[in-house]
Amino acid sequence: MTVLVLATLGVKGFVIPRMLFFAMRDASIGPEVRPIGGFITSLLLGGAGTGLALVFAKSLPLRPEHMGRLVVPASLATVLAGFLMLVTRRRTITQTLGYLVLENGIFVFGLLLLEAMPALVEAGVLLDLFVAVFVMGIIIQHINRALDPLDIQHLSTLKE
Amino acid sequence: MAVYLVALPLVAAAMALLAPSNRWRPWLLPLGSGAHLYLVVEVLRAPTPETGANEWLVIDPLGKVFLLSLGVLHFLCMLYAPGYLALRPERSNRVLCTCMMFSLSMMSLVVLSHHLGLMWVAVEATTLASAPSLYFNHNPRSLQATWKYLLICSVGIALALLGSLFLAYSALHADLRTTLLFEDLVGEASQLSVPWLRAAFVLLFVGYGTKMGLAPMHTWKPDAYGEAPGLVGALLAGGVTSCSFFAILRAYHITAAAGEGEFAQRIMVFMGLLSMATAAAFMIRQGDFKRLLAYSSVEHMGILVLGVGIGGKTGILASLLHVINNAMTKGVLFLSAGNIHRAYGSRLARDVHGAIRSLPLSGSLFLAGFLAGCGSPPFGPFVSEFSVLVAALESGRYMVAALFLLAMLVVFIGMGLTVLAVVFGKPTHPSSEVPFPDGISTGAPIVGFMAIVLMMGIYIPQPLVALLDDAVAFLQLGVSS
Repeated sequence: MTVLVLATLGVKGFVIPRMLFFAMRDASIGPEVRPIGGFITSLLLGGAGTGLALVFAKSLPLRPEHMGRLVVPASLATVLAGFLMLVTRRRTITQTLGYLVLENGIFVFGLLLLEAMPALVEAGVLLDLFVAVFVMGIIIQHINRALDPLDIQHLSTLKE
Repeated sequence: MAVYLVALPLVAAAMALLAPSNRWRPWLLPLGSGAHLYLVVEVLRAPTPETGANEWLVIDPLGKVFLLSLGVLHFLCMLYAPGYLALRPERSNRVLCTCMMFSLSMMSLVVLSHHLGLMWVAVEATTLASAPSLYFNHNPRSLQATWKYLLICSVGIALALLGSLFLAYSALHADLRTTLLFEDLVGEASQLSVPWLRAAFVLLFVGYGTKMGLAPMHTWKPDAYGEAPGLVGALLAGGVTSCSFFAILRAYHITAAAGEGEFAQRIMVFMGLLSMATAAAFMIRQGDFKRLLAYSSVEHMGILVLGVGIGGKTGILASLLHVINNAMTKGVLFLSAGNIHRAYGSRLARDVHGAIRSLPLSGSLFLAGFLAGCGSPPFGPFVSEFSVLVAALESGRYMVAALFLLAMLVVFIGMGLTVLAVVFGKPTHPSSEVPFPDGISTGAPIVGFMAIVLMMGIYIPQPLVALLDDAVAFLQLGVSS
């Protein structure tokens, strides 16, 4: 178990951020974002999402010991925030971040269910996440080289 | 035995990664895949072993049907691979070969795992393994398609993970042991907490359905199949998507065992018809014949879930039969379309004419594959698609049957217009100047696929019938009707 904790800490706290910084380096872009619809709308939507998560979690039948704790609403709010980032951000790198936020929300929910996921399966999930971000990082790099800048608006030559 | 089915392709993948020669590496593919197919046949011939309660890897009757379909599809595709890669000597095929074998291993793992968490890991791994092979052509369009595929499918599958966790919580809420083992969940299904179970099914269906390419989550499909080499397209459309359907069947099985089958089936009928209708709408005037195949895949995924959604013995049997028929037909269509695309240097129906004269073999196989896929007799898909219709009529769902027929008709016309323009007409090149003419290595595997499609329409061998019946019976285990 300790190994898994250390691995999670290492992958999520160190390896994945490093990979993303590495993917960003070539692109020479700052951390600025231009969400679709602007900052205010984005913030308000995020706030509304958090409120909805609280309301929704209240309507779900929870076990008595999970009632007062904020694990379920926090998880749902994080998932919604991840979705919001995926939908409103134009850049490949911010979309990757949205995906990571979404995954984090799911992991928070997983805290309630430690027994259901044996260490081996949990390690597999972590490995998948790592490889996913790794492959995404490689594609971002290739996109940097092929198209400039990291804007998926360039990625709209394929139409229905 | 189950472990070898996963381990053997993994070893082949490692060998492909280490093999130094770009020329000889592709020959590892038919070897590895052939050995895997041999193991599959051995597994099918052996009687089903009594399964222990806590095993993670189990060969069950449902898994056998999928293993057979995957094994044959992958083997014939890998027979095509050396001939195809020999035509592309300029590009390193190391990553492609490794990914092909790795995805076979992971597809087998999906089918074998009886732990829903492990199954999720395997499904996600098939997504990751397909992404680099989509990017084989290294151009901006394929880059864009790969990104879309990777992001949409990863997000979809993340939802399926949340769904799996919800399923575990439905057991926890009912004061049962929290578990994601399939046997436990089916066994204790009647006690699971219903609201959590329903939420879990919806998330699992949407998540794995995204990977399967059901409308409206299908948006990655036309791009990915349009840009992928025909070989990769065939494996995605016939293999990887079938695996996601398998994952949905697992979720359906648990939900049905809990007495919520009707809830699940209502969703499946709706999504099945929606996928068919969406595909039909986008196929009309679709000038790009590889994207056309992508929409055809959306349509066939719709038929798969529709069959199970209608339910009953006939519906489920039709769906399982269609898994095999769809895989084989997609093999014919994608590989022959790949040959035509290569020879003409274009995938647009306005540039490509007279394929049947410049490429007699690929052209006629493409035409036959189109007829088979649209459900014309005497080919296999006719039998399974007709059975779906019969199942709908038997259960008295006349509206569903009517919509099904309407979608099939529109698909036939829409797809036919483009396919006929490609196959017939005045050839763009005189047949002596075709750059990549038909050869044995890129033709024979397609003939193999076509022979199976034809056989499945005329005569289904007795052992296969028994296998399918067992699988249908297995899907009804623990389900009180």
